Amino acid sequence: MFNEVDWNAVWQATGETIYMVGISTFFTALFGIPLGILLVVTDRGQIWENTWLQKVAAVIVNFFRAVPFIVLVLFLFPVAEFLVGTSLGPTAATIPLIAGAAPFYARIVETALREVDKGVVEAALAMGTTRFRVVTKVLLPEATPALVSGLTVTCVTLISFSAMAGVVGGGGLGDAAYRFGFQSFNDGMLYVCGLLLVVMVQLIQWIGDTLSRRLDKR
Amino acid sequence: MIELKGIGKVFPARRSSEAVRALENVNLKIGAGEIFGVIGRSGAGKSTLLRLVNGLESPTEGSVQVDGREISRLSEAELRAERQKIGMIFQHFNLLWSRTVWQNVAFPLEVAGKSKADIRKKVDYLLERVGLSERADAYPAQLSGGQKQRVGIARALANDPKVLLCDEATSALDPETTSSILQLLKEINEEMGITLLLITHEMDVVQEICHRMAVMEEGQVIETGEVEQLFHHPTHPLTRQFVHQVERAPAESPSGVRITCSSQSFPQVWGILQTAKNNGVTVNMLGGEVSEEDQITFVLDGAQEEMDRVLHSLEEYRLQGEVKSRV
Ligand SMILES: Nc1ncnc2c1ncn2[C@@H]1O[C@H](COP(=O)(O)OP(=O)(O)OP(=O)(O)O)[C@@H](O)[C@H]1O
Ligand SMILES: [Mg+2]
Repeated sequence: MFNEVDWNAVWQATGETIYMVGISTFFTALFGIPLGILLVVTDRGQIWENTWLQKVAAVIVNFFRAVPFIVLVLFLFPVAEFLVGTSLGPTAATIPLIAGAAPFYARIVETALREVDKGVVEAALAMGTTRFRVVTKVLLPEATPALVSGLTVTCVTLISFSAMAGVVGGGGLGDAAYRFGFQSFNDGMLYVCGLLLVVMVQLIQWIGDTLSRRLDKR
Repeated sequence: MIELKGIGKVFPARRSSEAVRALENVNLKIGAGEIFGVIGRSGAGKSTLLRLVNGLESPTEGSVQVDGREISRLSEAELRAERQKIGMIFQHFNLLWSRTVWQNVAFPLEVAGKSKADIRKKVDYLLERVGLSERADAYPAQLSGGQKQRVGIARALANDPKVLLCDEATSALDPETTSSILQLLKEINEEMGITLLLITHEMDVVQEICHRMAVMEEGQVIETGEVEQLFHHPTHPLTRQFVHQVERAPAESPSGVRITCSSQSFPQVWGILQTAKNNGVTVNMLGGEVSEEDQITFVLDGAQEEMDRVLHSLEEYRLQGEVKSRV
């Protein structure tokens, strides 16, 4: 069965998946963290209370979270053409991936920041800390273990999303499993690609858990 | 140093709750270098009062002045600068658990924009002062409650404040740890001349370190005065109740052992005390009557070994729970 596996195609697809997931995890964190902060600090009784802004942000986040990922993919590939100059391949796939995952991660960030002891924020304010530094020196450091484990979950989700996006034209392991495996009746190819995805998920989960545990000083 | 004039504070109604009048016509004047205690039941408005002093809360009426500056009129930047000169410690310590002890104490210095060298010198000094130099690299999660509060105190003192606010700073600690923390606060007050405003619901705390005190009930200050004065002549019933919490040992026995027992176990305890008396221990029954809580308190004074023997006998009779504290 495995002699039919096209290893060159497999390694290329693996590279594409790592590329897609890597880039989109990075941008998911880049957009998700500020968005999560915004959701918390503008809420009632928080340091930058602005309930109007909070509601707008919440609606946007909920909208993106409610739209099924596959719909995001179909809608956003054309947008990718506009943003990155192509609507095919792994780079184009990162656009819907980020759009799908950033709001998801923003909610995780929000929860993590809300878990930070209010008393510690109060102590920081009582010491004359600016609100900006309350965010950078108190909220974020105190929530770091939760932010890391949340990013792990998001990254794992991105791996499965990337397999889906791949099928629609993004490339990567999902695409390889579908085209060279399923459609070509090549079971070996199907299993190898599937297995590699599982290994990737396990690896990410293990790294994330270890890191989060190390950071947690509670 | 701190002056509150005609303070009123109303928390506005929210969808789920009615408006709360937390403070009403509060007037207080606290001098520089004084240790001032505010005592009151839960919900009396003590925390709200304290938080007015560093502007964490603003009054709906009246004025709050610290060192001659009207807190509510300061701009945001001025208020931050002022807060660096007003330290605060908390019942639940409120340390950053992601930072080590050392880094926690460094926090306010970083906020104040001090140089690395200054920070190092100051943090080392403060940890030495509160007796935690060896635990500098520990995380708060690895400390006992008393140690955490010492870190809290070191942190509050970092920018050489003129005022230290203590919100139930010892309420989460056992009696012995409470005494050591209060002792530390007292020393700091004497060494640095810092003004202490502390709130509590425990009369022992007020008695142990405060010069003057105020009693609060339902958002109002119902009695103010010298601690000694209020102890001997409480006028308001609530003050009397608080004083009752701590029946004071007679002045002539500053050292000794205090024993509290219920009227039920009185005969056995009395027997033991008679033996002790015969061995030269002075036994005083406080107040000479059974108090409301059905408790009788004795204060013993005499040779250490005799008193140890008393404690030992009480233990043998399984009365160890009756021993309240060594005075
Ligand atoms: N942010 C707030 N919003 C609404 N009501 C509040 C707020 N903070 C305090 N209160 C109310 O004000 C009153 C006084 O509260 P405060 O916390 O000052 O009491 P306290 O004397 O410190 O009590 P405790 O001993 O329980 O700490 C209470 O009725 C409380 O419910
Ligand atoms: Mg309180």
